Amino acid sequence: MLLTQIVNGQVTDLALCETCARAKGLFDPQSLTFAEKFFPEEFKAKVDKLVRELAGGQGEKKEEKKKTDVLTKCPVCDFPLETYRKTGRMGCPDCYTVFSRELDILAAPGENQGPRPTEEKEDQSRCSLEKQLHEAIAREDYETAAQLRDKLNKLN
Amino acid sequence: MSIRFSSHLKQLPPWFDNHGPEDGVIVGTMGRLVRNLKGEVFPGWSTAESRKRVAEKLIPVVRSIPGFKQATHAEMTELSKEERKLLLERKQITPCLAARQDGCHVFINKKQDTIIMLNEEEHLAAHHFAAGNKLKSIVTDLRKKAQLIDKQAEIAYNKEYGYLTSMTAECGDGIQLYMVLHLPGHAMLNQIDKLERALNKMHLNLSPFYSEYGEETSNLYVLFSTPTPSGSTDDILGHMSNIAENLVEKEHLLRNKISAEDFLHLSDIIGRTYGMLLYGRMMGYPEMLYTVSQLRLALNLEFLECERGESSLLTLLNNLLLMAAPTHLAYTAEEPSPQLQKVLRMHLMSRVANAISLNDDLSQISFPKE
Repeated sequence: MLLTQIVNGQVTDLALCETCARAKGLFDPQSLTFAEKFFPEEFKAKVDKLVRELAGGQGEKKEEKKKTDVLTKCPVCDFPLETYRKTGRMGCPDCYTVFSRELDILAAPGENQGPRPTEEKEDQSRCSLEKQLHEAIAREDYETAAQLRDKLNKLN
Repeated sequence: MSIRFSSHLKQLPPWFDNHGPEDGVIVGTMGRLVRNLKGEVFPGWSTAESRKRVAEKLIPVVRSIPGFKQATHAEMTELSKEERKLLLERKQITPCLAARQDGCHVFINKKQDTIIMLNEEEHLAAHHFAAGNKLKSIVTDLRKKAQLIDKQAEIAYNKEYGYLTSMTAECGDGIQLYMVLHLPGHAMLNQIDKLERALNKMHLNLSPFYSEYGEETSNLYVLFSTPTPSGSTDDILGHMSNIAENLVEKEHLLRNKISAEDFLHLSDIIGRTYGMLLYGRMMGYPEMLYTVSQLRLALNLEFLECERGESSLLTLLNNLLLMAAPTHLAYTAEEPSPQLQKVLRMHLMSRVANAISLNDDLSQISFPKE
């Protein structure tokens, strides 16, 4: 179920599965349109509450991800973003993920990446991904699990 | 096995010892392969402990590469300032590694045509050298090494950017190519700047080989590809080979043009050079670089004759570039004074005078009568 709220020009998109939507009381899309028309204040309050719940409810991971976007230092090696901007250098391989937004100057994907590490490496990473997937399912972190599933599918 | 400089210096690296295809213009070629370990900080930002940890992981990998089981090896802390300078002159370490200490290593194979540096700008950097134009075989060799390394170590690789490097612009397949060119024709006709601008437009760079002694002393230039945006190594290889082919052709055209249109000036330069070899007593290194360049040009234009053949003279000139370099000379002659160094250099160069003679056109030049 996709829900888009526009308040003062600010767009909030929510994507919920059927179970989550029901759990949050959003079980009938038609009734939502009805509620938006006839009870705009109440509807706005409900959606705001839902957005807050989802932001908090999905745990620190989402917050961390938000923080990552504006990080000025790599949390792994303490390399400052400012130094990258000045020198074009990174502190460690993880900086590439942390400062990914800054990396749009690089070549178009796939242009010069060379041969991928060997099949053996892929097997290792497949095992590692499968392990991570089981762990994510066990702790009911379905967002991460979905990402891991997609990665595994790509490897397959 | 640690580096024993007394025996190490007896053998010359291939750039200086051999001659290869198109060596009248293309003096040598080099490929650089780089790899970094996953989860380890890049050397420029790392601590001594981290560098040591990286070295511990990579030394067994290096030793497993063919030709490196018994390769000479040194940690940078073991090398004195002079020894570092020697390796720098031989292009067997980079200035970056020369400035490094703990956890930084260099391995040199027996042929001295390949070196592997640990914790230089990247965790692992391998350089493969060859005389003349041998880009293709260099790339093939480096790819074999890369396969071995990738199998044994956890390499930092990103699906989007390729092999990750400390310089973001150098990500990709981790191979860069270099070519050393002798371009006196371009230099004498003031074509270097124009050439440089044209090459930049084709994602290639040109810079002086001996920049520390002034741009046009040796007329040797390094042609190298700009990183990633110019494409994969195969593209760059094809691109560079085509450009090198055109450059060689154009350089020969320019040399012939000078010879045809300004014979007097050219013969004056070569005659003076020959005279200095016969009667000179002292020679500085920059002057020697210039002299070697003129001799190479004269040989190519057949202004000089060599009893032992052109290729053997080219080899001798390449040898001298290294043997008469300041640190090599100081090391082999047990630290002579600067003046004695110049005398020794001139003595070495006089060996060239014994091997060559001016051709008839130059030796029988007639002067206008008054």
